Amino acid sequence: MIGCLKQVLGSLLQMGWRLRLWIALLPLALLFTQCQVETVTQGSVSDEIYIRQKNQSLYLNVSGYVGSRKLLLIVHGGPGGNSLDYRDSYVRDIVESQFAVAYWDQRFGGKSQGNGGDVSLEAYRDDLHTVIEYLKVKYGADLQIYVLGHSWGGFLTPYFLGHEQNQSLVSGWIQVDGAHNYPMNDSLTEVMLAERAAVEINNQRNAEHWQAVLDYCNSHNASDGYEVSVQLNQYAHEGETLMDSVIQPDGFGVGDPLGSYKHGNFNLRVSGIFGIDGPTYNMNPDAYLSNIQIPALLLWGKYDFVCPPSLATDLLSKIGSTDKTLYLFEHSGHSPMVNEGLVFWTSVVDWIKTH
Amino acid sequence: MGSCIRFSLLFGLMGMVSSELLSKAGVILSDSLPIQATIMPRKIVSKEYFSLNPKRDTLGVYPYVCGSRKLPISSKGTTSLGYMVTDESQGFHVRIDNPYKRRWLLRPGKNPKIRTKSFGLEFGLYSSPILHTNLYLLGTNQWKFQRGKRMNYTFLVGGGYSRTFLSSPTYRFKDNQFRKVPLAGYNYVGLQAGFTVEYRLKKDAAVYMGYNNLLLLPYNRLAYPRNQIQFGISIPTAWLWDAIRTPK
Repeated sequence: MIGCLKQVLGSLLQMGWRLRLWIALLPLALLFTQCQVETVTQGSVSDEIYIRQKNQSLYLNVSGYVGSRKLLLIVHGGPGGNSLDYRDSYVRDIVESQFAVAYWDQRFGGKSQGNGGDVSLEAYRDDLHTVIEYLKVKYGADLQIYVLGHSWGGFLTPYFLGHEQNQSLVSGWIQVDGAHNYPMNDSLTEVMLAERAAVEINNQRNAEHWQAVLDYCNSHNASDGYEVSVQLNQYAHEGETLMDSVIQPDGFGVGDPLGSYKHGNFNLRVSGIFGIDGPTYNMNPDAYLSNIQIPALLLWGKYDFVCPPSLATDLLSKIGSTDKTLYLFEHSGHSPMVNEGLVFWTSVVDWIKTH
Repeated sequence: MGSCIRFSLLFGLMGMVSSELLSKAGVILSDSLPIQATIMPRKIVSKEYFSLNPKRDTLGVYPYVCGSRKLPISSKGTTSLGYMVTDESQGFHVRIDNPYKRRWLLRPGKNPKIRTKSFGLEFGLYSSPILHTNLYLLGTNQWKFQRGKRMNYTFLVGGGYSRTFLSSPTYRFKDNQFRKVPLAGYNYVGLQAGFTVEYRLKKDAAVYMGYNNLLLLPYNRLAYPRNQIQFGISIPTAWLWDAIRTPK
């Protein structure tokens, strides 16, 4: 054995310097070889990758049964939120066992990272396009993709679907308490808060808090600017927790612990500082909502003050889809997947199966 | 050399060494230092300055050579090796500190108070499985306060280069194809600040524990703070280098 090694070493030493250089560079060359994506169409997967896009690396986790040829792509809230927060035990048990689920962290959200990056709405829209392209390459062109947009993701999803031919890439759209129209959202929140405040004050439930909310609504207008929007949003989140009818989250509905970590707080701050959703106030969603023709499922919490159910009514009347359904969750607020996880995910699965 | 100066200082205080000899050894005596006095003064302050440039070293604190060049490794410096941990990552760091200023405060019957300023280079590596692995190289400035028989307190600031490597394979869409990006990651400026408490062992070696904050910027266009706890050991650099090569 030792003699053999000596022989190999001896022959290496006798090689010319060029040959030795090539041998030394071979591992480096292999390292820098740009591998293409290998397609997977069968069985269950659990993949984690990053997609490099405009100076940001977008985190993507795909888990579940890809053999079904159906995939649910989650467009999380925020901006600056986290897709793995949605990956609770309900999703693992109910959805991932039947379809694949793609958890995509948007730029400046979740585990996505970079030393710069475009913060424009167009960049977010292009990212979603690239993510869907990747899913089609990785899991097969025949993969049926259903996009689920929640909250801020509920702005981004119709904004993406209504643009050019983007909707041809997906088979269905699930809108969950989405903010498709920011100015309208703020004014509806103000109205809903004021109406609920009057009811709660009459019934002497948390009257002090609701009086403060009512006073604020009476003295401000939703169109007064960003500060008013922020304050209304805060009251809306607080209001939901004061509703006895809203089911509080159980332990089963806790997201992936690796997803909901401190990085999330950092990204929310980044999104706030750069006012990522600021330009949404200058958008006219009516211009693209009518372009959307694909089947749509609208899921809303009855006590969602953040994105009031009236937004769903507006969507129903404006999207071009003929196959559209609205489902109202009686015991939910802004996040029915958290308040009524079992019912929520079951209705998602049932709808996907039939579309 | 370090112990030589200290002995010189002590003998100087006892009136056995002349001020001329002390100044040659690189010790600057304060005006109040009575060389010939037989009674110890209440307070003695002395300062030592060391060049950070081996070429300008007149005190012989850079004894290590490579070929004909002096290496910038001070025989008076310390080398620290530590483990660092956060709630989502762990790693290690190595730092070599070269002192450039040392101030002694001596009082009869009390332990000397020694304040040392050092310039150093720190190399660190940590792995955060959910985000990235990070390699960094920082220039640091350390203030060390020696108090009591056993304790040192240090404050440290630093800045330099940081390179992350993403924790999962990364693909880029180009020419209608997704291709893997080799060694995907980002370059950042790293800024560091922290403090440690050291417990001195024998012969200037110490163990330490401390808090440290490493800022990566522009991480997601802002500065991402990483708070970490450090544990480690600090030994005189001379121990390491003497083990490798004999000073000339």
